[in-house]
Order: sequence, then C-alpha cells, then structure tokens
Amino acid sequence: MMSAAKKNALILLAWLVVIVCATMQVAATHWHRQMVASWQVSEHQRLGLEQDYGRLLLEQSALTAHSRVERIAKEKLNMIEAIDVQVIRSSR
Amino acid sequence: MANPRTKKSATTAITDAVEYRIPVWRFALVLGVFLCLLIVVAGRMGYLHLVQQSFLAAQGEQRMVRDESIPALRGDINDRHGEPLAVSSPVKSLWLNPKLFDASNVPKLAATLGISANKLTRRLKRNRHQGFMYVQRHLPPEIADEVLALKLSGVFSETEYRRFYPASEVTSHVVGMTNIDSKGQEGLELAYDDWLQGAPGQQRVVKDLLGNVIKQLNVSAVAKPGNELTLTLDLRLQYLAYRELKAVVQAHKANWGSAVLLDASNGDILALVNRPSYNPNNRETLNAKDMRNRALTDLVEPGSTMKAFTVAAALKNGKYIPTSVIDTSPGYMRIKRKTIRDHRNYGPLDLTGIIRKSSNIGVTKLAHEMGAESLWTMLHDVKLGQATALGFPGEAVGHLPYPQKLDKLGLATLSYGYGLSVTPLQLAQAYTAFANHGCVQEARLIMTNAQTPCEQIMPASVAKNMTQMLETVTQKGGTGTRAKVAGYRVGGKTGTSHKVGKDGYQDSEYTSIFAGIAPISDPRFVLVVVIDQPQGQEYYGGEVAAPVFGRIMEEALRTLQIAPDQSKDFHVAEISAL
Repeated sequence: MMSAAKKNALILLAWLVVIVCATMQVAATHWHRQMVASWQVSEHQRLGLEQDYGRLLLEQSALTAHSRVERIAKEKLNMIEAIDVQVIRSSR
Repeated sequence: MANPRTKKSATTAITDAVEYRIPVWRFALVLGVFLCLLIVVAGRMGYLHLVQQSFLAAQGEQRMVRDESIPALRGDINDRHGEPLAVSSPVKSLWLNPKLFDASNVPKLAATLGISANKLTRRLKRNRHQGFMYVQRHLPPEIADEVLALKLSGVFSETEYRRFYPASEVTSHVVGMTNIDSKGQEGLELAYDDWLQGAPGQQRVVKDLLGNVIKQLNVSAVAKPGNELTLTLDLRLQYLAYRELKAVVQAHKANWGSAVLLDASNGDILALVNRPSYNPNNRETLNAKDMRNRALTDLVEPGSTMKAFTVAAALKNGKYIPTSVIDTSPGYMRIKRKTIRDHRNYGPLDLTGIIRKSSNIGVTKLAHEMGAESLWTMLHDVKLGQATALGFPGEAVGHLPYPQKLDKLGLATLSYGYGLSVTPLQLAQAYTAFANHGCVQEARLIMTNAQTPCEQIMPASVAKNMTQMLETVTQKGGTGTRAKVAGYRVGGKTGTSHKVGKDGYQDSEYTSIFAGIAPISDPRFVLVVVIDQPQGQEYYGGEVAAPVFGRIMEEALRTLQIAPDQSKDFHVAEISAL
C-alpha cells in the first residue's frame, strides 16, 4: 500500500505535467498562427512579385518590340539600312 | 431407447411455429414507422437546404472553414531565344453574392469600376436568386483592391491568371489563344493545353471574419505550375516575315498570304506567318476568318513549284542530266481534249532551261517519259499528301492522287503542279530535300521535341544539280528574277495556279507562289511565300510572291549574319591573319 503523502505527491506531479502540457499547447497554437500569418504575408508578397514580374516582362517586350525599335531607329535616329556593304574576309 | 415425451413436445412446437403467422398489420406498422422517419429526415434536409440555406450559409461563412483551390500558373511559351510569346500574369476577378449584397451600393461599386450602374442593376436582378455572380473578371489587381477597400458586404475577389501575348498578331496563329478560363482554344495553346496548364491545388483553411487565413487545416493537392513550351520560332525573323507579308497582301489586295521559313539543315520552323491576322489580347474584335493558320490549314495547288520535283525525278531516274535537251516546240500540246501551253514557243530547252523558263510542255514530256510511278514516288517521298509531324489543330493533310488513277492528262497536270493540293508548310518541307543534299527533313515547331533524322530520297548530286537549276530562275532570263538578294546566291521556283471555283478553274483568280532556298553554296533557309488571289495587273508568282521572298530572305540572311556567297555585288577586302 502507498502512503498518503506519496499519493499526494504523485497527484501534484500529474497536475504539474497537465499544466505544463496545456501551456505548451497554447504556445504551439500561438506559434502556429504566427507562422500562418507570416506565410500569408509571404504569399501576398509572392503574388505581388508575380504581378510585377509579369508586368515588367510585358513592358519589356512592348518596349523592345521589333516594330517599335524599327520605327524609332528610322524616324527618331534617322538610321538607314546598310547600302554600301563591304565584306571583310579573313584569310585564315 | 427413445423418449416418447420429448419427441412429442418437439413435434408440437414445430406445428405451433408453422401455424403461428405474424399478422400483416405488424409489417405495415414497422414499414409505416420507417417511412415516417424517412419523410421526416428528407423534409428536414429539404428545409435546411431550401429554406434555411442562406442563414446556415451565413453562419458557416462566419466560421469560415473553406475549401480553397489554389490556381496553378500556366506555363509560358517562348521563342527559341527565350523571348516571351505567351505569358500568364495574376489578375483579380470580383464576384458578389446577390443575396448578401446591398443594392444601394450599386452606384458606388459601378463608379469605382467604371461600368454602367444600370447594367449592373439589371444583372443583379437577373441573378437575385443565385449565390454567385461575377462583377468583372480579370481586373488589374490595383482596381480590385480599390473595390475591396470599400468593404461592401457580399463582394469578394479571387486570384486568376490572365494570358498576355506580347508579340500579338505576329505570332497569334502559331501560339493561338486561351479563353477566359485559361483553357486553350486555338493553336499551340490548344494542342499543348495539358502540358501548359498545370494542376490547380486544393487546400482547407480556417478564415476569420476579415477573410484572413488563420489556420491551414490540410493541403489535399499542391498546385503544380504548368510546363514551359519553347518554340523553334525566331521572333526577329517572324516579325520581319510578318512585316513584308503584310505589306504585300495590302499592296495587292490579296485574299490571304502565308510565309514559312525553315532552317534547311534541321527543319526548324523559324518563321510562320499569315495575313490576315488577329490580336489575341483583344477578344472583342475576333473574327473566325482571321484566326485560321492558313500556312497549315489551307490547301493550295502548288502549280509550277512542283516542276522542280518532276525534273528531280527525271534526274534521279538516271536517264537525264541537267544538259539533256527536250524539244518543247511548238509551245503547245493536245492531250485528250485539253491543250497544254507554254507562254510562248521556247524551242529546244535543256532541263535547266525548263526550270528557268517554267515550261509546261517540257515537264509534261519528262513525266510521260518516266511514267506516273516515278513522279508519284518522288512527290510521296517529299511527304506531300501526308500529315506533318506537328500535330497542329486543324492542320490539313492535302491530297496526292495515286499513280494508278492517273491517265495521260492527269500525269501531265501533276507534273506542273495541278491535281494535287498541299499546305504552304508541306511545300516548304518538300523543298528541304533540295536544300539538305537530297535528304528531306520533317518540320519541327517545338524545340524540345526530338527531331527525326532526315530521309535521303535522292542522291546528293541530284540535289546539287537542282539547287543550281533553281538558281537560274532568279538570274537573267528566269521567271523569278525579282527574288534576287544582293550578295547571296538564291534559288527558287515560281508558281502561279488558277484557283478552283464553281465551274472548274477560274480564269481570273490565281494563287501566286514562290518556293526557294538560300544561300545556294551552303543552303541555310527554305522559304515559301503564298499569296492568294492578288488583285490587279500583277498576279504571277514571279511578280507578287518573288519580291516578298527576296525581301524576307535578305532580312533573314542579314539577321542571322550568314556570310555572303556572291562577292561580285560587294567590295571584298581581304585581311590576312597576323
């Protein structure tokens, strides 16, 4: 048979364990929510970056469109296609 | 010894059991009770689903355990140098729940979006019994956020991807387009839909009242982005070809035009353009006629461009050499009830002369000499009348008549390109045989598809002779002098075919074709230009298609920095290595 004191000590220990577990559970949940929140922020950032990337890509291809480059070269910079072509050939 | 009493009582029990029948009302009662329960359950379900649905849905929404789909990013389509041809970019679609939406907010919502308030009210009325209605799809995210910032009840947003086509009408026929739900509808977007689209993911999350995710319960499927597709097109050449083709189709008020530029050595399609074209970024002005990829879906009779194959078949037979002379006088020939004519009486011509002058009589005599089988084999070997390996949606196969079905007249017409039909791409593919030392190369459009090795269908010496003959077409006295490119040796064959109308061949409707290769000393490109129904005085292949051929070829050679092989047009400075 167990003595009463020993029994009480065991109950106290179990009680402590329960408290610690419960606290850890709360902490874990809190930690999880924080993680989810930061994941959400990152997700948002990802979408934003994706948007920016898409827009920049489109902008780049609009600005470097061959028709536009050609027009600017001809009209603004007065460039012409080579007429008097010289071929330089290396004898190697 | 048996016990008589036991035996007797057992017998009685059996008799009792047989005689005791369960009354029918007890069955009816049990059945009735169960039916009642069923009705109660069904009634309750109906009540919850039909009457209390919105209340319960609202309650559920407050608790916000949501199954969400995670949209997958559709793969990009790029040209061979990685220039984007189709790009997906995230956009937001606004939707609202008409049952939760307060109609007095309509003007506010409409004003922010810049749409008509009346229209929105009408749509709202029509959908008032629904739980879902798109307000506007594919909005720029800033505008959607602006609307969401108003915090109107019942208005939500979802992220979708929208497809943009930076090269627009220059590549629209090849790349195709998707519908608003990002499903391929046309072109490669349709053909490679599964490859491009990826798989959307699925997750279950808990959301708070503000719509923020506070807990992710599980992810049943991770979103898998689609794969990229790299084409063999070179956007620079594609643009140049499109520009020249557009100009000529406009100048000649043609019905349509196509140009196909192939890499002679491996069959890569470097440019494939059509006019009329369309802008896939603007779906409002689409016109089915403009959306046809005519270089692949429309059939033309190749006309005189086939003469090169007739002559090649004659050379391959071994009975002829390029200098063999055929007498084409008096310049016409009667077969059955039809007269075949040359432009004028050319007299005796060697094979080179037949190609240069494009003599119908010459090739007819050659074809009759060698028979239908040889000519058919040649045309079949260069893959005419057969589907290409592209697998492009709506691609035409073309038609090549069987040799057994050809009479003398049929054989004669086949020898100068009538009675068979090909797509512009098939014609270009066939010409790779000349450009690639007699080895015909299948066209390829997807960079990652393995290229099948070429098929040797004529001796390299025949192909070499042919390229030299084709070169004479662009020289003085040939039919295609306007296809010339300064500094380069260019060869090709003109073709002008009457179009088929209601009453057979039309006198005044033509298809003008030029097929050729350059540079002759080491062929790099095969280019085919087809102009359908040019209006006005000029309609011959040498007048309409050849000049475009020359311009596109010149630009292509210059863009890819291929060394000139004809130095008499240039001043050549020799430098010696130190």
